[in-house]
Amino acid sequence: MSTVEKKILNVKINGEETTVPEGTVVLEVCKQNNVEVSNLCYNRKLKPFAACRTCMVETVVDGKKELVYSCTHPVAEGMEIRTATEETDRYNKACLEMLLVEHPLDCPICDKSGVCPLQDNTDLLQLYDGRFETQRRNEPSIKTNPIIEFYLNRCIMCGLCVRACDEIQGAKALDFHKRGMSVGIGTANDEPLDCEFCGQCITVCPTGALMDMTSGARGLAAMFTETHSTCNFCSWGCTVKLETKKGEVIRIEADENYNVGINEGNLCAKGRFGHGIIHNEQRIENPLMNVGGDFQEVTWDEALNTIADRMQATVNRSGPDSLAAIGSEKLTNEENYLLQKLFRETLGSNQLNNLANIRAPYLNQFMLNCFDNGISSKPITQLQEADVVLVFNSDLPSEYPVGGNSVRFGTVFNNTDILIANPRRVVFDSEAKVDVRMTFKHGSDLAVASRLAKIMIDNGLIDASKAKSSIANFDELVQSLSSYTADNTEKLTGLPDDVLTRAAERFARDADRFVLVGNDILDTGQGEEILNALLNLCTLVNFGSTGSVSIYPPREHCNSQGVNDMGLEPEFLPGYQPSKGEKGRDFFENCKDGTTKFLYIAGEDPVGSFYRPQLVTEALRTVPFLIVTDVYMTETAKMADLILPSSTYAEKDGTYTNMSRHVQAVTSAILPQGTSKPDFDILIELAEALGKPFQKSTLPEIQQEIEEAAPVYKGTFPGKDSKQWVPPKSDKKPEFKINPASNDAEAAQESFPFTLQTNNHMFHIGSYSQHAKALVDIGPECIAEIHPEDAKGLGVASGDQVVIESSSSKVQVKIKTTRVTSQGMVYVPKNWPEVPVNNLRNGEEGLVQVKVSKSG
Amino acid sequence: MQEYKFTEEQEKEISRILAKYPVKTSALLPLLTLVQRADRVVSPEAMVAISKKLDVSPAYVQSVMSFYTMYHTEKVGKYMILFCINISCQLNGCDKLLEHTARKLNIKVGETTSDEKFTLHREECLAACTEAPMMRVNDTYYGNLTEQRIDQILESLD
Repeated sequence: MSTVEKKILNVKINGEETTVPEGTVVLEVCKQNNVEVSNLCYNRKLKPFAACRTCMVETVVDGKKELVYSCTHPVAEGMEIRTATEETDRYNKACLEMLLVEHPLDCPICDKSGVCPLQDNTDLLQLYDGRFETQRRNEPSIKTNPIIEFYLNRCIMCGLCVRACDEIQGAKALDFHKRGMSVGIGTANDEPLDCEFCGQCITVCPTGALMDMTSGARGLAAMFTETHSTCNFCSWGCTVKLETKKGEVIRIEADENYNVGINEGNLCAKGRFGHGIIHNEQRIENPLMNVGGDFQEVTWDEALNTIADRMQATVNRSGPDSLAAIGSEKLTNEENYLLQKLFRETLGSNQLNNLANIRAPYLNQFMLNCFDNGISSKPITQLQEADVVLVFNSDLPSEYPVGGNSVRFGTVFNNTDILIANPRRVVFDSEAKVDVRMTFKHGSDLAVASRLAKIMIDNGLIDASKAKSSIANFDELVQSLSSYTADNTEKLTGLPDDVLTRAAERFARDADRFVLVGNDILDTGQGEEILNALLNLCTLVNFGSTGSVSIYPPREHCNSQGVNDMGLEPEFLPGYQPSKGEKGRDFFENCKDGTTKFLYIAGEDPVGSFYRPQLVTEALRTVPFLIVTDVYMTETAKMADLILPSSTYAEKDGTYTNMSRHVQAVTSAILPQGTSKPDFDILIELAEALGKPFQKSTLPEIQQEIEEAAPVYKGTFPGKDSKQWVPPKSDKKPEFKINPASNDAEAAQESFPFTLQTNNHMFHIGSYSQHAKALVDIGPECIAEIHPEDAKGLGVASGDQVVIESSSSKVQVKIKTTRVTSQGMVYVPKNWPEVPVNNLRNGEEGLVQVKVSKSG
Repeated sequence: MQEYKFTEEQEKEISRILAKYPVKTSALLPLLTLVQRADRVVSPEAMVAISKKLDVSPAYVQSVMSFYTMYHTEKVGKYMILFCINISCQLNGCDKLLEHTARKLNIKVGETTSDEKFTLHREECLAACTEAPMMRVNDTYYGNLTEQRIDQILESLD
């Protein structure tokens, strides 16, 4: 809850007494108490608007009767609300009747039919015999963008799409056009819609005026089978509604009902339109065996027996730790658990890891440090009630788009302050009254975080004596921050001190604080130090100020958190119990030098995505036997000895754990396609082929086993209600993590004058999204970004092809000039296989230095 | 889309307009008027330029612009003739006069002459019933119209 407390008022609805917080509108109270009131333009995520005029109710306060529009009228103490009286019905009916005059009654071919608020309201008000003739508008539908169809004849001008686009998404791509009889909805100058393609407008539309063109079937959505599941793209963990017809996923919708998922019916382009990855001709159809460089189809029995034989032989010949496995940030918890169980218990190997942990083992340590310092972080559902949100090096609309929706909700309804620290001038439009932008010099993240802490101590923004008495090494922290003076920091970051001071003041005050950290910090080579600095910052307010603080480790994919929770790493067993097994050295070095004889990669593509692709390629080339399970033929799969076709998230059951530790159900909507199998089944069958079948093999049994192995997961299954796992109370003393004196950001080398920034594109993540047609349609090509001044110096213009070259490799890519990307840096999204931007890193940590030149 | 450039004078005028309002968005109508008067049309490029000046979305500028009938998305003539067709003018024969004017200019109502000199429009009410029938040419009101008076007025405009 926000630190601002709201008064609780007593009201009566149709004679029933209830209590509500001050400021709630009458309609919301009715909805929460299951009292039906006709309405078309209300949405609890949006500001009151009162366009449709069909929600009139009668209120009595102090004996004074009023007829009010319930969607805008706030409750008052002692208010009596009466709905559906003879009088209100008369008014509401008259307004709805007018809306129906123009509405084409083409319900049988309408996407909303059966789930249509207009139908429902017509029925509720029993408007069966209209007095007027229907006057259709008969305008052609507008299909000028690849995804969202406008069929304005059905539009009732409720303004929900316009408002959702503005208030939820901050995109403001839609608005009203003209007036009177010719009023409509459209884009500026009727140009093809070019927006973030979140599709919120489709969800909120109370008629079929806006339609999802990616849908595999037209009309009668009520006939589709609905399955609630968890999205498989980023780590925010939105609940999606998979709609199926005759065993095929037709489309994905959001569910705006109360308490469904953490996203309250918000989705992004990937989650909503990325279903093209499910039914796809490019999927691997059968198990493939590499015979002398050619892949030949084999049966599942043949494949599994080959693997089992090879596993057994390798254990016998080279010992269990010569077998290694990479768990997947996209597999369910249960699948990851089984993978570690197969390796640890059945085979006896501790050589387990996941790509994020190989690169940044400090992420889990950071999370545990937070717990030790008393920061267990609130459920992410409370983000929208935050008083202040610090977005640290994350481009929210691309990285956690739905997180951005929650933050915007906070700025509209709870006065949330926004503090954005990023090397790029990332776009984030909201209604925040306090919106501090800290656009710092690329790579100076550490100085920003450290200076914020120093300002809080030096300016007395926190109670230093209280912090000092609680944390033993407070003086050591003060000492370590001494070099971050205003002048020094400005030199390092390019930020004037008053900006940082303003941010520190907003952060240190009595507030509910949330810190969202982006994955970009890993690319600076100082990820651990930056997280330490942020930990210290949060610890300072946790002990030296009031309110609360929540911070989550940066996680990239849908189950990046869960794969670690399930012990897919050498240090920890499931539930972060210390592992006693052999820790080994660097995972891929182990493969490269021949220590690892057998490698099992479950649904990951390190060649395409890992930050040291050269090392990975050499490692995979050296490993004598490589198994890859995946849905698509990735660069990694091409190097395998055996490929097993696994199933997508729509075809399997289990749970994902999101970045804020919500364990959420993944539910199968369709049967596994072709001969593919969920990794769950593959692992169960593999254990059988080894002659050591798991004693338990059903999902509930495995979940029970996980609850025993990882007690923090107790009570989180089956994950239908988005429950966050909570760490046990730490018995360790809180302490600051002191960074060694830093060697500050290196000066750019003359021959490579730019620094490279690369992260996920707004419409793509991982390797799958490139197979979703809709996402490719809206995000067809890789476009690098550069500041216009830099472009002028290089003699390049938007649309030119350029070569971006580092000391180790080069890529060719189209370029666009924009002031979002600061001078001295070039930004390249990392999701196109034809632009293997991860090759530019020559194996070193830290920012990648590149040069840019016009191609050809 | 080409970038729209305000002239130096317009920039000065815009600064003067912006200074009048505590909230920038309020200056939207004055800026649209400024552009309409200078260009005789509000082009998409100009709307984008205005949206940047006021920190609003181009879609919003379009929504406001398209709400009002006196902003035009197609270039109008040097002289914009608005003919009042409301009740007082109608009782005094504005329909015939409008027809006469159209014939004289050799265009239909709603059109612009090929030399881009005149555009002829109907207008719901110009609030000058005492002078009915009447028309407005740019910022000037002409009342008590007859066919001869209209001919004279049109000839007097160059």
